[in-house]
Amino acid sequence: MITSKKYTFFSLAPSALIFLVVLVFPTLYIINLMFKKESLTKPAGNGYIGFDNFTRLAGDERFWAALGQSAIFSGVSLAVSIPVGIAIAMLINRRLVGHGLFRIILIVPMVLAPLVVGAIFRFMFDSNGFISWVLGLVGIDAPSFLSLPGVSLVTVAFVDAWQWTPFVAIVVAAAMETVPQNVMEAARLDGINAWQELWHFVLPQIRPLLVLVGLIRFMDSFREFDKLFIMTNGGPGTSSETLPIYLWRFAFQYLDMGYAAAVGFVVLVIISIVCTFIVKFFKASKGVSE
Amino acid sequence: MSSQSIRSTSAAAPAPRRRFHPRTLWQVPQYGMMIIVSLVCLVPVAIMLRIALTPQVDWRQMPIDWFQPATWKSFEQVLASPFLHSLLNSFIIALITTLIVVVLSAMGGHALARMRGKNKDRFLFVVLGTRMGPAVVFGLPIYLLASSIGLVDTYVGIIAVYIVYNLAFGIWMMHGFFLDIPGEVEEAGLMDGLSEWGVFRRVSLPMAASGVIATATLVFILTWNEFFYAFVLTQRTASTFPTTIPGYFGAFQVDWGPMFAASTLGILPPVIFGILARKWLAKGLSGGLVD
Repeated sequence: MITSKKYTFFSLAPSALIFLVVLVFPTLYIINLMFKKESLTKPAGNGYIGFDNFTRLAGDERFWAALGQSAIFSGVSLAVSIPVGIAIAMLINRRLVGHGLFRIILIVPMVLAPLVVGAIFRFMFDSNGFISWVLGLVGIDAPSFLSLPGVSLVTVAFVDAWQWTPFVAIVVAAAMETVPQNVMEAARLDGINAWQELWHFVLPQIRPLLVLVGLIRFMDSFREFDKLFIMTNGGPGTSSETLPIYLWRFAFQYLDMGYAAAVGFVVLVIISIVCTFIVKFFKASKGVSE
Repeated sequence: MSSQSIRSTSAAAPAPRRRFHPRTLWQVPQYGMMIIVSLVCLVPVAIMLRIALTPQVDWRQMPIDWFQPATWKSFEQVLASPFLHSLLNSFIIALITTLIVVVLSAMGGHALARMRGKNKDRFLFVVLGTRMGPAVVFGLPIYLLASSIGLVDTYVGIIAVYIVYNLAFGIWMMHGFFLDIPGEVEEAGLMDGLSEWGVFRRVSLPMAASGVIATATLVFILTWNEFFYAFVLTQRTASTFPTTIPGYFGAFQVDWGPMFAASTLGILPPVIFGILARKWLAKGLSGGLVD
């Protein structure tokens, strides 16, 4: 059924209006603001300053550090969650007794509030906390994870991976079910092992989905705020400050609105590029299978 | 990757179940892995519960004494604090948000599913942008806007933000569910003399009922768990459950017991709804991209 223009218009109008008001307006607001000095703490000299915010941003080592730390955070989170997720997906599809309960258990990390996840793991990663105790059992003298520069960022990235690995596992497991069984049965008769089966048959078949899951995971880890906020608050120093934390500091702690708007705009541009890529990819992968 | 081929459910397209097999011994390490993964998922939650039920002197005790008798002090303290007000706010705000988002996304999702051409792609692209952008980027202008029109710390303000925040998920999800309904059924409805609107209400919507429930559950969970906007846009009157958590973190020490007691109460609805709606969770969390 192809619907009439009138029907389409009236069905979409409310949503379109909302997106327009609460999406386009803030974007225009940011664009206007990023050419101004708008400091609420040092109001002297507030007003339009052209591209000064961007030159300041380009020369701000802390911004580049935050960009790099964002990359590390997302990189570690993906490097853990994708392979481990694939492994768990294989485990799910073995359909061992109890796999139904196993799936339910996997749901739990995903539905917890990220902030609560952060709070729990802050407790667990505390010096002489649960993790240190577990590592002590096997004779490892654990560092104080959250108060060492560099280590704290990676620690929170692992926690992010903990929360979202089940998501990867469940999506990949569903995709694996669609891989034609007859080809694999034949291959098994030819005596290939499980690893060869995964590498040569299963993964190539679900490659488009894997890329999509990777992109989704990238976007989500890139915008992660809650866990970093509660676990390290960007610290020690600024060593675990990713772009969202950096942006939050300038906007809501230093109240340096003009500069924060410029940062926000740059982040939006980065996001848009990745978004375009996702949509292009989504269409391409759809075109292949339909 | 058509919507028919990949399903995030165990119900659809079940692979043949393997019963007893000579290679049973080989399954031992697999069961071992399953138990380890389950423990990794559950132990953090168990620790939260255990500490919530432990007296203050033992909070930092390692190893954790799992069999120590429970004390409900932390829960009593939390229930006597304004926390309940925030929990109730979470219910009200998540419920209203869910209702509005589901109605809007069912309408919009249906229209999009029946639409062809460039405008559809453009619309879906913009929608996706709201899914992908960090809350902090929109937080700044939304905060300035909300404070200039007096909507900070009001239900209206935070619900408005949450509608936008969730509408993308809703539209993508409902769009996907409506695509699964064959067009012939709707055409038959038109032949029977229903209007387009009538077809939507009496034919398509009932057929997409599971999609509506799935969307509602996901929107509820995401709204319930959202922290950043609530943190920035609410203070007391409209504060939600996540915003109360940082309050337990003092400069020198953390009130672990009450914080975990509050967390326990706060995670119950998402965990229950999440388990009930597990079939659709992956589809929703991927913004409808993976189905």
